[in-house]
Amino acid sequence: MEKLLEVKDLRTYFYTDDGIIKAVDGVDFSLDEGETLGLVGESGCGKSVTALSIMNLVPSPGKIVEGKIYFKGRNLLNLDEEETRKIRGNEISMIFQDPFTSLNPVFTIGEQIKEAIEVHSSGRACSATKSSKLDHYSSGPPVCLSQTSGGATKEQVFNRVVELLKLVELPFPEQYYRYYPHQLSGGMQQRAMIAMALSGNPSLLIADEPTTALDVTIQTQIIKLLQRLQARLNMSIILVTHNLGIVDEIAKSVIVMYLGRIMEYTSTEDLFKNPTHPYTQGLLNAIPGVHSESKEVPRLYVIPGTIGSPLNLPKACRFYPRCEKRMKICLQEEPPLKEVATNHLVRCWLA
Amino acid sequence: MIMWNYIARRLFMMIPVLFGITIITFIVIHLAPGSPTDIVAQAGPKVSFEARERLTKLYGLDQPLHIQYLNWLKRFIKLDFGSSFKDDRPVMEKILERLPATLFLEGLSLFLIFLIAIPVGVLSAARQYSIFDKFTTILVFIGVSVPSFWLALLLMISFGVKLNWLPISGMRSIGSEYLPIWARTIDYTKHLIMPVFVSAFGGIASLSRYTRAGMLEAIRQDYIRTARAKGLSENVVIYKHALRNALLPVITIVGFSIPGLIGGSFIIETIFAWPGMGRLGYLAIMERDYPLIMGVGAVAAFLTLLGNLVADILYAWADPRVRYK
Ligand SMILES: Nc1ncnc2c1ncn2[C@@H]1O[C@H](COP(=O)(O)OP(=O)(O)OP(=O)(O)O)[C@@H](O)[C@H]1O
Ligand SMILES: [Mg+2]
Repeated sequence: MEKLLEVKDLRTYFYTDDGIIKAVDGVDFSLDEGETLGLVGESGCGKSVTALSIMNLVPSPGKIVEGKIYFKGRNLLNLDEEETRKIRGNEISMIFQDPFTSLNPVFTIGEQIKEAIEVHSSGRACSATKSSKLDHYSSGPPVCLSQTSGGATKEQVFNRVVELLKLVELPFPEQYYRYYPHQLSGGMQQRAMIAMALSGNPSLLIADEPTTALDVTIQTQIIKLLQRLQARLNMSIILVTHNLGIVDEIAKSVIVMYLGRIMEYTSTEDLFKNPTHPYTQGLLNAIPGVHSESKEVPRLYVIPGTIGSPLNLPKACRFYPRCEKRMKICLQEEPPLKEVATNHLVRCWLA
Repeated sequence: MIMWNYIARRLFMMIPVLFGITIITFIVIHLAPGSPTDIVAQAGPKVSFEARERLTKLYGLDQPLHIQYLNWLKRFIKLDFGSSFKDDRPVMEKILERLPATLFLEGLSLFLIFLIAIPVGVLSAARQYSIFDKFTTILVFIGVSVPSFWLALLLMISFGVKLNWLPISGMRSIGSEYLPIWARTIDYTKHLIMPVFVSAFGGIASLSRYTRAGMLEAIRQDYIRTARAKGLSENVVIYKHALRNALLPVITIVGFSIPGLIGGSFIIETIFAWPGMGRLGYLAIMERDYPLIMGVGAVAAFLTLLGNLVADILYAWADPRVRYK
């Protein structure tokens, strides 16, 4: 089966006044249709930049300097601006960490979702497969918007917005249409963001820490919602998060990143059963309540040191300065990403 | 309904502020050296003494300051501004006949400031570090550094005296009322060009900077990334999503710029002999015409407060976060 997304040797660097920051430095991964991939790692390891690279939205002074991003067989990095915009918010959507700052404060929720629909509605082919995904579950009219030559009618768009708001389980969708972002709670704002992201029936949803800014009960609700939506719409999700608990809950496979590199890449099940990289082990040990066998250890494990400066990358293994199992060779040469078992990749000499 | 309550409350709150401003104005003019009776004194030492005494009594200047202020206030509350020392005409009448010229000049300047500064600021932000941006940065630097009186004199010398293209003073030429309408319009316009330009110049410079800064700030926000992630074109992202937000603080600037414009009108109207309230006030100060100074001061203060109120209402109307509180 063809992969939905295939990222090959992606390198995204920031050319700052202080030097080059290799935020993403040779990342390879792929994603099947309907699959959820977790992307974890400490702050600053390049998760968001990886996500933004797929959207081709890397902010300046950042640049994708190398790599290929195949989406449905097309290399996204070869597309021109116009073609890229047709995919953004349509076939690939993204939601962000802080829904409050991510929504424009001066437009209503409805206007903002409407805009996302309209920008992609004119001239879009009325593909039966695409719209049927949704129609199957919703009572509303078909989602195909290009029956009228100049795009969709006002009423069609309004109905579609309401339908999307229903889809993300917002109560009183007609009312929420007229609300401004600040009139909604954080969880509802994130639902609105998700509604907006779903407006084009995306095949891939990139969620960059979608629950980090929300409180715990709301976090669970949003994750559960994403799970339900994924099942309904059969879309793939790349979920960026710090929370391995969430990964365990919804991701099929996981990438553990450190300073722009993939350190471990395997199925979620495998990662929890058989964490191989010392960094992964450290992350898992740092979760409260996971290692309950060692009851005599009252304090939470902390990986020693902090993530180093992305400017002064060690010549060798990037985790070397903080690794508790470091050896001489780790300083001399960076380990390659090795397949230690089927579909279990680890970048460590010990593996 | 909430809006009307708000406006009423704000209008009510203007009263103490206005009251404070009149006290300060009153104290300052009495602290300043010189007195309304000085002019009479120039007639000669002998005549002057008695005349001075008589005038001092007549104007009530022999009374203690606080009594003088209270007397003024009592009349002011009844909207009676008193009469000018100079020609004994009611202050209100003198101000009202000059006010339209000032409002016209300043209104036009304000309009020009917005018309020019906002597009300039937006474009230089959208094309940060472009040649256009660098060029306007230099112009802005000149604009905020050049004193308006100096600019006025420079323009008068070059376009008025040397080139003789534009009239250097007044609102219209002598005898212009006998001209046909189109010629009269041209005559008015020619008289307007330099005063409007000078009074708008500094405002254009600073407002375009504010707009540029507001735009750059807006462009950095998360919702701009969201707008791009939706697949919107760069034009929609900048000129819809960023601009709407960048213009909010600009509205507040209207409020701030009004005192500057009114203050500037004293200088500009005097230099260009523009028959407005600013020139009236300037002359009143020179002649120590206390009732007229107080009257002009109170009207200027009222206009400033009104401008601020209008700016706040506009802001509340434009920003849903304030509107729905
Ligand atoms: N606009 C930028 N300019 C310069 N450097 C940047 C920029 N954005 C990101 N970086 C750098 O790229 C690296 C990776 O950042 P990224 O935002 O991807 O981290 P992250 O893994 O998403 O962290 P977090 O968990 O905090 O979101 C960081 O070292 C950061 O300093
Ligand atoms: Mg991030």
